[in-house]
Amino acid sequence: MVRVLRGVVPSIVALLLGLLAGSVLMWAFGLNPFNVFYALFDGALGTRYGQSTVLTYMSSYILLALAFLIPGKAGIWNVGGQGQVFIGGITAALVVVFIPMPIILWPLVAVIAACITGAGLAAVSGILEAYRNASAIVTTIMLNYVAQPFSSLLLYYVIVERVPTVAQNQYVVFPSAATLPAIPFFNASIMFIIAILVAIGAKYFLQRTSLGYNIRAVGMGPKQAESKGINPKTIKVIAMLIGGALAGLAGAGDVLSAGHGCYLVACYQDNFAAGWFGGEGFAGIAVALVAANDPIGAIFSGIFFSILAAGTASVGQNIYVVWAMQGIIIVFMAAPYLSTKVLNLGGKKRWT
Amino acid sequence: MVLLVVFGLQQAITISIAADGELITEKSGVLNIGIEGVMLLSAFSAAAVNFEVERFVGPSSPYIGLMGGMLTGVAANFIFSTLSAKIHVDQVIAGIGINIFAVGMTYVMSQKYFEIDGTPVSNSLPALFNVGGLSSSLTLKISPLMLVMFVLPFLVYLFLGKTKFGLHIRAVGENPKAAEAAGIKVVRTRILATSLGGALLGMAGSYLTIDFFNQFTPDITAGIGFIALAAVIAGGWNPAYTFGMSLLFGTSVGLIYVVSATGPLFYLITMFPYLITVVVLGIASKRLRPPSALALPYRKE
Repeated sequence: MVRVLRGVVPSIVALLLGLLAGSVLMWAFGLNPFNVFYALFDGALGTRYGQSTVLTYMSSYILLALAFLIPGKAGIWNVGGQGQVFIGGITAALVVVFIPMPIILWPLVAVIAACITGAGLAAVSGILEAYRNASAIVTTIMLNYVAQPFSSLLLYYVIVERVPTVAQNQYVVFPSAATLPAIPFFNASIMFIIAILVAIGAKYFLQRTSLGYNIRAVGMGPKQAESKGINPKTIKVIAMLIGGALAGLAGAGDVLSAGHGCYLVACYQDNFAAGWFGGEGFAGIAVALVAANDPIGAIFSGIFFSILAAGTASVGQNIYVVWAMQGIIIVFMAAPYLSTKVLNLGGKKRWT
Repeated sequence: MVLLVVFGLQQAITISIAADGELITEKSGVLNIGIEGVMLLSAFSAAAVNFEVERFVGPSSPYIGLMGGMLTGVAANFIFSTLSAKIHVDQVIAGIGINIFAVGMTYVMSQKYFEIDGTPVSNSLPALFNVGGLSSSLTLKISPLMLVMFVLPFLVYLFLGKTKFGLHIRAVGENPKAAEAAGIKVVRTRILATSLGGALLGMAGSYLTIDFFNQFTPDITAGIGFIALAAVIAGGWNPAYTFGMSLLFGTSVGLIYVVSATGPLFYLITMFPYLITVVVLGIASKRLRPPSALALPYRKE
C-alpha cells in the first residue's frame, strides 16, 4: 500500500502543478479557471452524452497509453501511436467495406486486421532502431506524417466512393452488423471494457510472463539482458509489434464504434493544420507518463484525461488550453526529482 | 528542374538553420526533441511581435519580428536546458511535453491575439533579389536568410572546431566527467550551448511566419522541426553533412510546391519528404556515432 502511494504521489503532484499552470493560463486569457473547470467536469460527467464521450475517449486513451508504455518498457520510444491509429482505423474500414461477413465475425476480423497493420507500421521503426540504429523517436514521428496522408488517400479515393456518407462527407455510415456492439444506456461501444481488460492483461503480461520479463530486462539494461541470453534486438521489435497492435486496436475502435463512423472523416481531414499533437496518440503518451508507465495506472489516468477531453469538447474552443495544459503536465512528469522536492521544500539542498 | 532547386532551397532554409541550432545543442549532450515546439513558439512570437509593434508603436520592421522569434527560441531552450541540466528532467519526455504544449499554446494565443486562425504578416523580410522568368508569371523571392543558410554551416564548423568555447561544448557532450575534471563548468556550458542553439531554432521558426508563408497558422511547422532533427542525425553530427542532408530534405519538401498536385497524387507527394527521411535514416544511421553523453543527465559526484 505504501509502495503504491509512493508511486502515485509524483503523478498527483505533476497533475496538480499542471492544472495550476493551466489555471494561470486561463486566468491570463481572461477566463475564470473555476468556471472553466466546473463547466468542464459538468460537461463531461453531468450529462448522458458527456459520459458516453468520456467512455469513448477512455478506450483509445488507455490503449494508446499501452501502445506507448509497452515499447517504453523495452527502452524504445513509440511516439508513433497517432500514425498507427490512422493505419489501424483505415484497415478496419477497408475490411468492412470490401469483405462482407457474418455478424460477429465481421467486426472481429476488421479489428484483427487493424491490429496487424498497426503492428506492421510500428515494426518498421522497431526494426530500424534495433538493427539499423535509427532512433525510433524520429522514425515513428516521421511515419505519423506518412500514415496520415496515406490513410486520407484511401479514405477519399477508396472508401468514400463506396460507402454512403452524410453531411457533405463528414460522416461515413457503416452497416450496423460491422460495428462493435454498444453498451446499454450509453452511446458508446464495448471498446472501453476491452481497453480496461487489455490494460489488466498488459500488467499481468509484463509482470508474470517470461516475454514480459524479457521486455523489462532489455529496458533496464540491454547489455545485462544479453548476458542472460536474451536478444535485445528481437525483444525491441516484439515490444513495438505489441504496441503497434494496441494502437491499431484503438484505431479500429474509433472507426467501428456505433455512431462513431463519423470519427473517420472528422479525424482524417486532409489538412495537417490544427492539432497534430492534440491527437489521441499524443494524449496517450500523456496518459502513460502520468501513470508512470504502469498499465493499471494508465486506466486511472486514462479516465482523468478523457474527462478533460470530453469536458473541453463541451466547453468549446478552449480545448487548446487543455492541450497546453497536457504539455505542461508532461514536462512536470519528466521531472521525478521535482515532485519529491516539492514535497520536502524544507530540504537543505535544492536541486543537487 | 530550376524550379525544384529554388523551391528546395527555400524549404532548406528552415531545415538547415534549425539543424545547425540542434547540432550545437546536441554536441553539448542535450537532446532537444522539443525542437518542433520551440520552432512553433518562435514562429508565433515573430508574427505576434510584428503585430504588436505595428499596433502600438507604428510601422514595424520584419527584423524586429525576427528578433522576437529568436528571443523566444533562446528563452524556450534556456528553460528546457535548465530543467534538464539542473533538475535532471528526462530530456525526451520534456521534449514531447514542449511539443504538445506549443501546439496548444500557439493555438490559444493566435485565437486570443488575432481572433482568427491565420495571421497575415503585413511586412515580411525584404528580398535579397528576385528570380523571375522561371515559369509564367512566377517570381521567386530569395530571402536574406538564404544567405545565412549558406554561411551558417561554416560558422558552426569554425565555432565548434576552432574556438575554445566550441571545444568545451564538445567536451561536455562527449565526456562530462573528464570535462569537469579539466575545470569546465558542465551545467553552464550545456545551458549556454542550448540557448545559442535556441536562437537558431527561433530564426528558423520565424522564417516561416515572417518570410515564407507571411502568416501564422496553427501547426505551421508541420514536422519540419523533426526533419531538421533527422538531418542532424543523418548528417552524423557534422555541420557539412548536416547541411547536405538539409538540402536533400528541403528539396523533397519543395517538391510539394513544384508539383502542385491535386487528387491522389497530392497525398503521395505530401508523404514523400517524411518517407525519404525514414529511408535516409535507415540507411545512414548504422555507421553513425552520436556524442557519447547525448541525452544523459550529468550528476556531479
